[in-house]
Amino acid sequence: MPEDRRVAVMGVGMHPWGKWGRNFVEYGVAAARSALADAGLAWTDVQFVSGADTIRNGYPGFVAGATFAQALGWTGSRVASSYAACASGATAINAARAQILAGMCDVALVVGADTTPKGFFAPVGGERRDDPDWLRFHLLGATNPTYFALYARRRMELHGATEHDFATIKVKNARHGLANPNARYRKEVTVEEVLGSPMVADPLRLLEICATSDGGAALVLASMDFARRHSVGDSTVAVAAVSTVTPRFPQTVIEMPNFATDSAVAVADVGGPGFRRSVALAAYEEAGIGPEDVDVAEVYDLSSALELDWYEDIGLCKEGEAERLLRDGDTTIGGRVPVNPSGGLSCFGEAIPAQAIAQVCELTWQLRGQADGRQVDAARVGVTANQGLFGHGSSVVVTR
Amino acid sequence: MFCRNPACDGTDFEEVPLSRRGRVWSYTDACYTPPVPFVAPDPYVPFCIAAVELAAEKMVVLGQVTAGVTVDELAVGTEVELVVDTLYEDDDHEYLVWKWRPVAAGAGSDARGDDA
Repeated sequence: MPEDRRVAVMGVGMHPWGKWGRNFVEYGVAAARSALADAGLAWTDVQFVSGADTIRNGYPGFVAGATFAQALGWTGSRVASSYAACASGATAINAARAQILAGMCDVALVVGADTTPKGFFAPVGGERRDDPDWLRFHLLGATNPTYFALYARRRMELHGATEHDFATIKVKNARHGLANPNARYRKEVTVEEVLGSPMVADPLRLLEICATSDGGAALVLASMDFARRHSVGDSTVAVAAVSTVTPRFPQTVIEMPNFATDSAVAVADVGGPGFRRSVALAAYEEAGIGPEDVDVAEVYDLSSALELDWYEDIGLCKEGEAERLLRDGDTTIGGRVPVNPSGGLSCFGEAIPAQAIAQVCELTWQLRGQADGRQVDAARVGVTANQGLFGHGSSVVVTR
Repeated sequence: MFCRNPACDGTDFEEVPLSRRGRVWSYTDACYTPPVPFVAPDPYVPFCIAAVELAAEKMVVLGQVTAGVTVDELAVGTEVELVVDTLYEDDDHEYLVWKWRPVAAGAGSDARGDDA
């Protein structure tokens, strides 16, 4: 029997996603208070604050842990701040988990929040000719949707995905998120409306590419012992694994923000699982489960097409079978393994440092049976998947 | 600069010319003006971007596709060649960048390919 490496999810909380235009600290504090209330704990019970950083809100965003701690009132708690692009939330969760598992604290608060500008994400300001993220905009005009579109087109050629499939993902997620009080977009769409929206990066259309949003999410994590002793509500949900792996050399799939893959010439063995697949595999291995045990998943649908890639990358089906899974309704609520019951990024838009934390909030509500209007039947094991720019994997296994 | 191979701690690099031709791994276009620091012409003209697989090097290299080529003229597997072309111009300079040009379209393009 391996050592128990679970940590309890005692409380979860979110500030609704939107385009509110207020200070990100407000969303983070609202989410934190909500998570603490859910846990039945006071802010003064928290021994470790783990902030997920935002890089578009000045210095307070770079030191998010301290910023949230100050807003909640200094208590002298231990603090850390993490940045890992879209994987920042998972990295912050992992920092808190490590503190708990090492016996350094019993109760940790994880918080991420963002206020975002409108439109395409541009690189942070300044002229940086040695920064691939600056250079890809300058030399190629390659936005984030450029990369999503390259994967989508490749999928169409290799596996016969159609524009109708991509639109169907959007329709499914829009329906899933209809009743989610934290979702920004709560409106049904039809395949025709999706396919009638303007092309952004062929073959992806406006309604198939995730927006950028304001929002905040928080978790109260605790040692299993502490949770057993102090729980007032349902604290039987636990984080069973957190994977924050890097790619392995040679990386043979083009990834944001790079211009080129590694050359595979110098290496005899390139037969690895590929980066996105390795992210979830590491989480499954750590949790001692396999993809066949998963009841529900929250994956990063930065584009509707990318959700199909994730079906394969988290092992819900073999490569090339994602379209069939979708068409058979397996990933719709009521199907075999619903994906993005929250509505996903499709209904939320991305609030970068909050998003990976929000994925865990959703799985917690699903596993507790509290996901009103979007509940997956008898869910006991959930997995999240996500990927941060430059090579930050992010996958969390949640169990009850 | 560092070698990306974890099994190699070498710091001496040899410049190796890459193949000038490859096949399209995937492609897309930029229907909307990319944000700064991209320098966009006014009025903006959409362009294609291709990820091109170089067989000998076993790698994929991104690049803009030469002006005038639309997604309808591209497919996974299309043979393309590297040309040097204008990225943008200001009063003093013409700034150059690599671009991909479909081999079949080579004759009609005004990109400065072969003299690069």
